[in-house]
Amino acid sequence: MRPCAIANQRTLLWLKWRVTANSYRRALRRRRGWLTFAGLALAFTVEWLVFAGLVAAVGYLKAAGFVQPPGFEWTAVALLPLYLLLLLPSATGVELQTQVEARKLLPYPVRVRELFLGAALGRTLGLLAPVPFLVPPVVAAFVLSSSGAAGMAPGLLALGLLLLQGVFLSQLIAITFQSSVASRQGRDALAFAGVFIAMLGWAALQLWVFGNLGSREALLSRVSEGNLPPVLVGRVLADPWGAGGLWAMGLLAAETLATFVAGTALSHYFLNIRVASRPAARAVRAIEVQALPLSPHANLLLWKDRIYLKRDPLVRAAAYGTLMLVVVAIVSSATTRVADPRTAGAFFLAVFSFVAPWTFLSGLGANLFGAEDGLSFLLASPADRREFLRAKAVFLVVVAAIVSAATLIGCALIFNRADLLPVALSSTVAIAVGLTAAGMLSSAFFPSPVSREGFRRKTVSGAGLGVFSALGLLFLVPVALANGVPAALGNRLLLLGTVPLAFALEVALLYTSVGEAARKVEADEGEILLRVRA
Amino acid sequence: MVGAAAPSRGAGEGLPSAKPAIETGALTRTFDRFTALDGLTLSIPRGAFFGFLGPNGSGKTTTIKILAGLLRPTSGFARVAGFDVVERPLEVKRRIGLLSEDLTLYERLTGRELLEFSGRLHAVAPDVIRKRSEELLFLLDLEERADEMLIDYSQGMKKKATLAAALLHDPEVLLLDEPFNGVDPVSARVIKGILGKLARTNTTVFLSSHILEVVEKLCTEVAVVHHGRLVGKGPLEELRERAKLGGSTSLEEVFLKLVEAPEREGALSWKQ
Repeated sequence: MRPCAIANQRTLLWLKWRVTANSYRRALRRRRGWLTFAGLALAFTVEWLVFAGLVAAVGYLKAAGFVQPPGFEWTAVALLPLYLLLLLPSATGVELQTQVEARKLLPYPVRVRELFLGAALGRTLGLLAPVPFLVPPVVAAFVLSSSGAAGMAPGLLALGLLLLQGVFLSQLIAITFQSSVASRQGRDALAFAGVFIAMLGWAALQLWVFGNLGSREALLSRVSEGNLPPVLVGRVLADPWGAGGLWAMGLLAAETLATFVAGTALSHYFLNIRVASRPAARAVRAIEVQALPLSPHANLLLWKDRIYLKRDPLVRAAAYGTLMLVVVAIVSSATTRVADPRTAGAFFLAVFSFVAPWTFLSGLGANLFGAEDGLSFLLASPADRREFLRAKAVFLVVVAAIVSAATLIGCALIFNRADLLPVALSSTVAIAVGLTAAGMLSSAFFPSPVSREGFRRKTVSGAGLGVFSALGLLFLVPVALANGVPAALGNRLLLLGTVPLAFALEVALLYTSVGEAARKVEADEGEILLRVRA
Repeated sequence: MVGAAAPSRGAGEGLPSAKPAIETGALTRTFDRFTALDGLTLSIPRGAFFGFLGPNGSGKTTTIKILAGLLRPTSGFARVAGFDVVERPLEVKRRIGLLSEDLTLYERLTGRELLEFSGRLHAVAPDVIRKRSEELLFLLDLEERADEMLIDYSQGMKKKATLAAALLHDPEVLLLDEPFNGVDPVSARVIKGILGKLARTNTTVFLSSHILEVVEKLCTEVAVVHHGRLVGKGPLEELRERAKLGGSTSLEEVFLKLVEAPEREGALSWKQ
């Protein structure tokens, strides 16, 4: 008997449901799990209250005749808190998205397009997945829309397409990211970059269709605006039955279909045609042990991490992910719609000074024993634990500083804000040092079992990441003051003194944290090994 | 017996007995400049218990991946259950059960759920899935922990769960890559028993294993690959003749002779 496509879809959705439910069941077995879930419930409540307040305020202003906001602009504004809130779950350490890895379905008799569709639709099923976060902005968009009840049916259709397009796109990015990061072939990395180039192409097409390309300087920000499918939904809501609304609906449908076709084609390429396999192993270039002014053990361990930076998908994924923030800034930033490029550039440079090292270090440094391959081998050796941590700290700070600097330079070029780079770069290095210090403590005191489910080979989660986030924010107070005090006093020259001082304080924090972490590891390394391999 | 209680192979869906269960012709797979498999030609009749041997890195896993439709050959062809693995991969996947060496499971499913998932994707009726799952879980000693997540299983238990999933839909061809690695002796005996009975019900078993004693006991025919090439194939007696060894020599000796294993002294120079 051959299962039909619908039966297979049902089974794939059932799989996602079971995998997700079991994950939560497992998380709730721990006492800390309840605390994290309670924190998330609080976040949802706050989000709802914020949006209720926003909707009520704008509703009042509209009724009183103060403003007549076009629907799409408010949709974009309403989506901004969504992006910010999406950062929250990972900071609390909850594994929100237990993703169904498409590769594991390959031995089964499932077509590639069924597999793509099933994995994509499965993304909407996570109990704490972005979908619930999407509800308040959607409600806001409907309430604020000027079309009222007449636009309800086309509006819902447009929102459905928006959701479908989002899940198709995220699945498409997941499969290309997973395949290109793990691959050693340049053309696969190009396929990944191609997804973003195609997105920019779509944005340009939309602008061409709608006209009004604007000035050359504002083009990038307008491209990012045009690529936002919510803007198209906004146009449908604003003019559901008019020419503009129908054009927007047609484009949205074409985008959704194109995303599905592209996702199926890329899945076919990565899963069927170019299948990475262990026998692809080939001779790799030898890397010499460096002779930095560190102990022999530290140099040796640093050498091992350098090799991993070249060869390990996890380390590369963390670095790529950080660099991708630049692209994300262009293609998905709603704020550029309501701000000029100069202001947006300043905003993004400030945000990425923190977010770039945070993204990299939360993937590797927050739970470094969990992310460490061959940990039992290492702990069975007489390697000095303090030297191990010191080498790891040097590695993390240097790589985090490099990828953050690349992100910031890219951002400064895009928004033409090279004038802000010196302070941004100095601050990001100090932030990398402070976050590494937090990572030392969270790794030693809250080591977590590593998850092997999902497209990231190993993900960091649990209390360790929560502690990393909390300590990290605390440790970055000196950097915040170093930037904030001169700004408050209106004297930028003060930065010459405050930024180096903050850097020195962060280094002192790191030194102390390495010492504390080493003491903890020496006392409890058996326990740590058990906990990260649980 | 597993699979006999509720057969899922419909009339006419089975493999025509005249056609080999597995057939490869000049099968080659290269990875960049490395040739993992070099012109492998095999024909395995239906119902055979076929042992596939070779040293580490000789191309065994590559062969199994190609036969399972998980890897495309660079050249040559492979047919499983009469279907070409490149042109009709879904037909192949419907007819095989796979136990891969690199276990890629959905580790947040329970053992029982894994069987249900696999059964549903192979279109096995729900009541048959339930019945066979109970039987397999009991036989493989997984019954007590059937409702725990696979992530909490030991390596051997994961292997047994995967084997159960591979058997549940009553495949025509069973592809097994190192099924006994990490499995305790009690379970290994049960698995050997199940596999032995399967072969008598016309299920073709393609077994890649390093445990030569198992291959010697179970397999009706053996192939040896070395550096991606076939260096010997046939019943054990035939291989003994080819290796110019006596009638009572073990498979280990035949294997070592065929792969021309170099003699290396075991003593460590710094311990002398």
